Amino acid sequence: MDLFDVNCLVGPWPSGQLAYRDVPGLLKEMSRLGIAQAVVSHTLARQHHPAIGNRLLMEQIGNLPGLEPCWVLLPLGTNEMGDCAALFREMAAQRVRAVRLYPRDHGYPLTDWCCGDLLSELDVRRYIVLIDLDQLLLPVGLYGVIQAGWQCVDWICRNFPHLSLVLTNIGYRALRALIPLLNSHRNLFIDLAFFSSHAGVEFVTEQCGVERLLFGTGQPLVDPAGAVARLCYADISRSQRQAIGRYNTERLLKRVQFHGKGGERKRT
Amino acid sequence: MSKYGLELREWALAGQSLVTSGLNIVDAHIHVGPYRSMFIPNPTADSIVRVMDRCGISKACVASHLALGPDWVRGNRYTAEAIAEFPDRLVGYAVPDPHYPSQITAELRYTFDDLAFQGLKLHPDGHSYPVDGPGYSPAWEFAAERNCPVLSHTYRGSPHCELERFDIVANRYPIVPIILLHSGALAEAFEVAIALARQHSNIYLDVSGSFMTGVWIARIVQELGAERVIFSSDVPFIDLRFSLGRVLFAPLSRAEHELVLGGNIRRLLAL
Repeated sequence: MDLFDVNCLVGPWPSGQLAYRDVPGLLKEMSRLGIAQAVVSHTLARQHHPAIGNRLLMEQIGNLPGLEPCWVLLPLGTNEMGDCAALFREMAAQRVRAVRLYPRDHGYPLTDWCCGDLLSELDVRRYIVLIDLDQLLLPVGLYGVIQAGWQCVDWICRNFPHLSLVLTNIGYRALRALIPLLNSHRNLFIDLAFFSSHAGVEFVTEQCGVERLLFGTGQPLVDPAGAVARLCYADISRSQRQAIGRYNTERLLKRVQFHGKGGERKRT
Repeated sequence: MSKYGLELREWALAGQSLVTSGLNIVDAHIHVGPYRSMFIPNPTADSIVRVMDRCGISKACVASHLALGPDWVRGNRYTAEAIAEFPDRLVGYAVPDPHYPSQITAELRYTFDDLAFQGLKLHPDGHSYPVDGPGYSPAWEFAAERNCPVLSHTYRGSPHCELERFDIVANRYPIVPIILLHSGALAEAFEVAIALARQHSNIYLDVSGSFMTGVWIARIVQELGAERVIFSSDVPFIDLRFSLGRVLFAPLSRAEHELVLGGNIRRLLAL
């Protein structure tokens, strides 16, 4: 099975013991684990600055087959990534069809007044937008989280129904909030990177539809072998495994329209 | 990659039962039952054994969620019910509650002698009590008397089960095999866990947990030797297949896999 990893990173990271840090290392890991294609972001776009990290990503992955660029974006208000129109023209020219947001790390709220314009631009173009769940649910104590961030998921999906919101690194504590959201919003998806609820893949497949699950690993910050084994040993049909393993991601990527147009957005 | 590694990779990518590989895999630490802070789809013994069958895992060692929290005695009975349902597949761990020290010895004798449990599981955070506190003493003494392993939840930064507390209990009970579940849990704890295991030959490191990786598993094996490293999944907190995948694809030899994936826990529990 040639897997398509919707969630991986390349680049330096301020801690040891990663399986790789550069593109050759990523390609080697992909080959080892049966992963044929990947949507890749640069770690410096998260850990340093998106403009710098995105540029490094394009320099480093170039036109390598099998690697799909994923840029990290910031809200438009501070103009840190240049003129909005120029940014999206550049993304179209570089065939960037997926983006990531890191609101916790980059210090901004996911609200209409801060991110509405950016999300509108992504919405008319039907972009894939990846957000790690821990960027939304703030930790409290050793084991707890503040659950208020789920409201952002509902807000984004409700007001920007044409983009594909992919929540990544779900963990095992998410289902009580996630299931009603998946049932409410057809443009909400989750990846397998540490979606570790026991029998969770089977449950979401049955309750919400197999098309809502995307194979993603979170590598190298998360061991990709977990997601690979999770999918390969899942109690689902062969066609469902193939859907999760690659076809769902391919379908979402094909939806992206670089020159999308839309009318006035009704905001709630 | 070695020939063995390539074969194992092909089996895993094909989702083939690992019985084919000849590996006798035992999951050293699982749970059953619901948990208050999250929904677990089907947290039953039946559901877990079906996943074990899917993967080719021969046995798993279980303590119920209820025992780790509010009701240790009812929880131990719930564990016994799970084992009775699958006596050839599940092995029981008794959970002592340190807030009832005068009752621990009698309860542990009953679970071992009448219910055939074979190990102890401590959850100092679940019981909000330090692992080296006097309330746990009857449990440690029982383990020393019965020569059975004690598995304990660990978490870096916990006031109850920070790794340094296990230096104390390992010194106090040098003949008790102590299995540090999750090896401190956070990646920054793993070096501390390795150092602790180097100091105490009765400490073993378990590789379950949210932040463990195959790179770390290989490193721990390299530092301590495969005979000191134990695979468990922590299912249904973490789907068994996630935890298993990390070990399967870790760069270990067949001999190392055999020890980590089942040989060590079988030896410690005399399975």
